[in-house]
Amino acid sequence: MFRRRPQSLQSTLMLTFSGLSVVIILITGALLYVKFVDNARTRELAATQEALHQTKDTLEDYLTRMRQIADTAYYNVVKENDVQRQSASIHTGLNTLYEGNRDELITLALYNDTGKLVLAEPVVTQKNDPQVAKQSWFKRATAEPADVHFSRPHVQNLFDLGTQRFQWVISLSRAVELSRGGQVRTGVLLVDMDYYRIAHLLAELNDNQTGKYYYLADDAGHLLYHPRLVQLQQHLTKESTLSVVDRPEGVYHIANQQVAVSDIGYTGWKLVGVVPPATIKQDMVQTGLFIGLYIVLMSMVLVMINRLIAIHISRPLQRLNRSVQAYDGVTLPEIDIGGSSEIRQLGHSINNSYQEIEALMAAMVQAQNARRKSELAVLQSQINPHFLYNTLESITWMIEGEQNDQAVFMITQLAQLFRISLSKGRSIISIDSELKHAQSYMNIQAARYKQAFSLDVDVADEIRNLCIVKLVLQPILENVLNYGLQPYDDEPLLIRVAAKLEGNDVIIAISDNGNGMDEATVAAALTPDADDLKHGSGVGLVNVDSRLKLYFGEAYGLSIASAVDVGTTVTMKIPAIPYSEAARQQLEGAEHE
Amino acid sequence: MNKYRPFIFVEIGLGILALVLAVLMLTTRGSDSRGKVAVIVPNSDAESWDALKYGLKMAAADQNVDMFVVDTPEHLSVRTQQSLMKQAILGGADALVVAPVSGEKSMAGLKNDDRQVPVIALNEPVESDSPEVNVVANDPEALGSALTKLVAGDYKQHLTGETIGILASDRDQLATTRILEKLQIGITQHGALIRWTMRETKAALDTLPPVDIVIALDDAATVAAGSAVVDDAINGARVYGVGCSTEALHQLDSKAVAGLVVPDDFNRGYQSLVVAAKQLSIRLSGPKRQVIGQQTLRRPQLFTQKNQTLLFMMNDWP
Repeated sequence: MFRRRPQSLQSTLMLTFSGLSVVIILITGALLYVKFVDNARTRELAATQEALHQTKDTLEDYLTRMRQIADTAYYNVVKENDVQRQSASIHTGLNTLYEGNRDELITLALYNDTGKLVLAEPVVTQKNDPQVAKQSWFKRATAEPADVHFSRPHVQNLFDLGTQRFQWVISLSRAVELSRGGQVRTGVLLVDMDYYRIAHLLAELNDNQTGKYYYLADDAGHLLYHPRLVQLQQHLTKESTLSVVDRPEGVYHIANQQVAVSDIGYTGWKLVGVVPPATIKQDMVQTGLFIGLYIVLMSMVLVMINRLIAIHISRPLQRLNRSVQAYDGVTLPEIDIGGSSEIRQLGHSINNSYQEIEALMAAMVQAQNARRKSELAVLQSQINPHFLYNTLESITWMIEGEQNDQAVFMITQLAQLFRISLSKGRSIISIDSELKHAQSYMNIQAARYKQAFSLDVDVADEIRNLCIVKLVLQPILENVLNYGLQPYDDEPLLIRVAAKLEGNDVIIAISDNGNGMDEATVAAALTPDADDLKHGSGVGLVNVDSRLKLYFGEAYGLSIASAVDVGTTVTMKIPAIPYSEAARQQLEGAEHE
Repeated sequence: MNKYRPFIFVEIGLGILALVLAVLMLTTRGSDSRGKVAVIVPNSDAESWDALKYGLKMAAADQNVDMFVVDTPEHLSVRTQQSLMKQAILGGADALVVAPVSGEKSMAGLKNDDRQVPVIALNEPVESDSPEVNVVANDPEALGSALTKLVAGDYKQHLTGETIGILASDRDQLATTRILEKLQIGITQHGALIRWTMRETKAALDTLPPVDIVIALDDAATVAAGSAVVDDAINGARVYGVGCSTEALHQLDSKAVAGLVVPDDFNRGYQSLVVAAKQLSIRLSGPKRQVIGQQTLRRPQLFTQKNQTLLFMMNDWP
């Protein structure tokens, strides 16, 4: 199973902060984007409505003027004159109206109820058989005489205007009463408005690069103007918003487009503004890029800030961790205390804990050393009963043999041996005392073994007053006697104890010319488990070596060099410390692992 | 250094991203036009191009392409055509819509692969089964058939004994030849006799042998023949023709011309620019031929609602 590698505190903090920051920035960015786009859409729609409003006003002004022309032509000219008798006045009146508005008008014409031309301005040739009565504007005017009617844009095909171009017009038609010879008949007044003006007005409105467009439609859904009129008629494109012509003024959402509708008065026409989604595409792209840039820059800054925060929080912890990790169980580390109050408090707590642990450990070691010293000392101070029995047996024999001087000597040596062994309970004595103790022991043994060995002590006076652990020479000499002194051996055993100073150390060598030991025996001599070597008084070289190390340290102790049939040298190394009461007390209180 | 590496990489990555976004912000401002298309047609100011130019203009708006029509003389040689194409490209054109001069040299100039600018031909300079450049053109055979049908229709399919004169301008010689071929076959099948064929519009028509019917194969020829009718210089012949100018339609309205076959030049212009715009975006497919239709007009139908669209296209709308 996959196990995630533990991350450092700093990485965890930074990743968490950065992740949260990025999520927050993304959410903020998305909300801003939605808001900006919504604002852009609203702004665009408001601009569309404003443009619609202005164009509607202009268009209505134009259409109102056309209605006024029609009204003036009817009420002031046609109705006031008889078309038969006063045709000249009607001509003059219509001509005045035409000349005053010729920029906006194509034709003013008056037809009777059969569609026959009564008169027209400007005076132009009527085309052959224009079939006026069949034209929609004429039919609508006669069918609904109370109203003014506006036609769809169409080519004016009534007159030959001599322009060599087809004139596009919107026909305003209304029913009129014509007086002819005192009789009143119905007729139709036609005002052909220049469609180019309306087309130009709406073309200007559509002159934008945003994709937004405007069109004009009548109440039946016929397009009067559309920027893609031909494409629509050729079915190259579709107008999906045409259904709004049935709806009142307002804003609608049709086919994913916002559509603003405005009514053109008196005509039933609708001016429609369409805002397709593409209109705000540029705004959306720019907004998207801006928001994207904002997110990236904010991320950069926040990642940097998060890193600084993570470092600020984690660095004191890292230092604390390193200082804790540096603790090897021996040396009390310097616990780093820094950072925030909580981390400082933690550092203090760890430091206090370490100090307490250290104190407890020291106390434990001290207690253990003391116990060990005590054990070793007890073990060392035990007198081999066999040795005591033999010595007393020898003294008895001496007394019975009336060798009183020798008996006294033996008793004196034994007394000295015990006196130094006790040494008022001290563990550290002078080398001189230790030599005397050793000498007493060897004197007793010499009486027992009938002078089968000789002891040569070569120790300078300046060495004799140095410190040594009590009862360290006697076990070595006991070993020498045990292993070097062989029955039926004619050659006497020569034992030599020599001491010298080497720098700040004292080297005491105890050598003999006995049988020596093989390598295995030498190697086992100082090994705690080598019980077979622990003869004599019951304590062995291991005990001596341990006690020397315990009091003086690991650098000190015993070493053995031996060769079979040549002899053995046991070398004792101890520090050269002048013997005094203070030194003794210090050494006895010293603790060495 | 290793522990700083991810942080440095993230910061560098974000920095690069910020730079890219900033550059995009600066470069995506303004117009997003897809490119510029130059249009080269002979006698570019002629009325006969009005519907085509309106189609080009509408398509340019729909396709978000900038379009301009190069001013050209009445007659183009291959050399002038090449020179105008070169100038248009130097002027920033990303694609060309050309009504090329007929001939192999003209075709070689159009398909010059070194130019790396798409070219759309409005007529085929050489006859071939598969086009070597993109072509959006009228179908000459269809025009010839429509003319035959128009004339024969007015004579109830009986043209026996009727004499025909055929008039054509010297433009687009290949198309004219193909219309003529089709027309000749159709007319003679209906029993008419072709008395003359004239490929020169400036000739005095009253000097030619009198005929019953004059059939004009292009707009210039139709206008010339219609003018001759007005001037009573054509010996009372009825004029039929191919026409796409306001003047030709006026002649139809004034009965100088009895019937017209009107090529759908709005669509020719519109579709040619659509093809050019597509070529600006991606050029994966080979050259294609797109055939544009036509309609037949007689005076009584001139002002019907459907045909008013045709008239609308020919106006110079803002």
